[in-house]
Amino acid sequence: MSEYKGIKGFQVQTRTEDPSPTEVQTGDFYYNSSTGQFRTINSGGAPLGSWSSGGNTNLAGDSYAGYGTQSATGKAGGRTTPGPGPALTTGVTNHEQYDGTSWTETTDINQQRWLAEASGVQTSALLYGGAYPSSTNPILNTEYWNGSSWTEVNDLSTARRSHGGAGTTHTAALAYAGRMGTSYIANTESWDGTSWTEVNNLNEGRGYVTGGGTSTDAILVGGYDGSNVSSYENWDGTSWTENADINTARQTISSGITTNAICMGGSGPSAKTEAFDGTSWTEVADLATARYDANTGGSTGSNTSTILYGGYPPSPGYSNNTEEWTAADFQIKTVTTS
Amino acid sequence: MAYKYCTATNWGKNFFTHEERRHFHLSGHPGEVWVVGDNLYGDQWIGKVAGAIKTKEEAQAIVTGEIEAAQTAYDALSAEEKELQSRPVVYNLP
Repeated sequence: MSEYKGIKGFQVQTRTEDPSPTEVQTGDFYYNSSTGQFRTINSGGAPLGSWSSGGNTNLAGDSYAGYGTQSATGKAGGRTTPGPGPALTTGVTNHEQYDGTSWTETTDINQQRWLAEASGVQTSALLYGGAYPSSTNPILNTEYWNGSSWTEVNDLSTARRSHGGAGTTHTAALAYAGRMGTSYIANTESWDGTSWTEVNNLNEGRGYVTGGGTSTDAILVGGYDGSNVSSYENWDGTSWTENADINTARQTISSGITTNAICMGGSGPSAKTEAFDGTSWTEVADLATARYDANTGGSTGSNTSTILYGGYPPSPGYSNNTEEWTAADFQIKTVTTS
Repeated sequence: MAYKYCTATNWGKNFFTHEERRHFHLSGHPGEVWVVGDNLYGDQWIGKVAGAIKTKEEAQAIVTGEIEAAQTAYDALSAEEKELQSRPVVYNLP
């Protein structure tokens, strides 16, 4: 005797939209009536995440140096303008820290700069390079933040701006790539807590990047070398190795390590976000607001948690908006017959 | 996909949440214009942020005006400054 389910089959849940992370269960199977597709919930893979709004920065601007994590980050320098942008203004000494809810102004840096990079955490950070007063004047200057004040320490060997930076402490950092004069450089320098030492170059010189990671596991994503770049390179503590390209070549903001990285926004301006799972880059949910010359907590972000703030949208003036990326450890897959 | 259009000022934390982003399309544009997915959740968000409803044509006019102002500012820049960012381009809202 046939059973009902043998004749009619199993019922499949119909949803008008994909489930939220609080509803989802790995292994779920359903029909999305909005897209006309059957879908499953799998574990792993590129993260399913979204951007939410964070607290607004006190000073709207772009081209900051950023350090820290999503809920404990800081931004130093940058540029801002009181009138219609993007008029060139000299870099600022402004320094703000974020507690996951709001930004608070704290002790200024000593050297005005923009287009710089930073590494570390809220109580111990390193700020290096950048430009002042104009972008054609890259600087060598390095400052150390001890949680209450900035102190000038030994300079970089090669002046640079729009470069990459990595490092989670003030005693171990990496400065790489960047713009120096009319050149896009491949030069890499390693900081040991006292001084910078030149180490192996990138495979491809470029600028307009932010980098990310640690002094022994750093990333460089996209950028610009006269054209927008799609390549992705990883630093293992000794040398740079090319890895899988991002999907959309652009100057972009990035954070994470070799096997777990994210890049977002950038030239265009773009709202695109791409996540790297150790093998390939997958486009995931867009930023709410497209922008470039923004920055991120950077060094310790990942494809499941990062932050983006400031930047230049396609309108007069700079942004003071913050967005926070959080991802769940599952993915929604469309069922196909192939 | 159908959209609604409004203007609203981003006040910062919780202006839009992860949960809201998962339930409807949301994108921000010049002039504090927001394109919102036309569903119940989108309507609730417009209410939460006290969004001022616009027609698509009204929203497009705000965005275009902002971008044209940015183009004027860009055209007045030096070559050095222009290298740092491309000229803003007028685009159509979805």
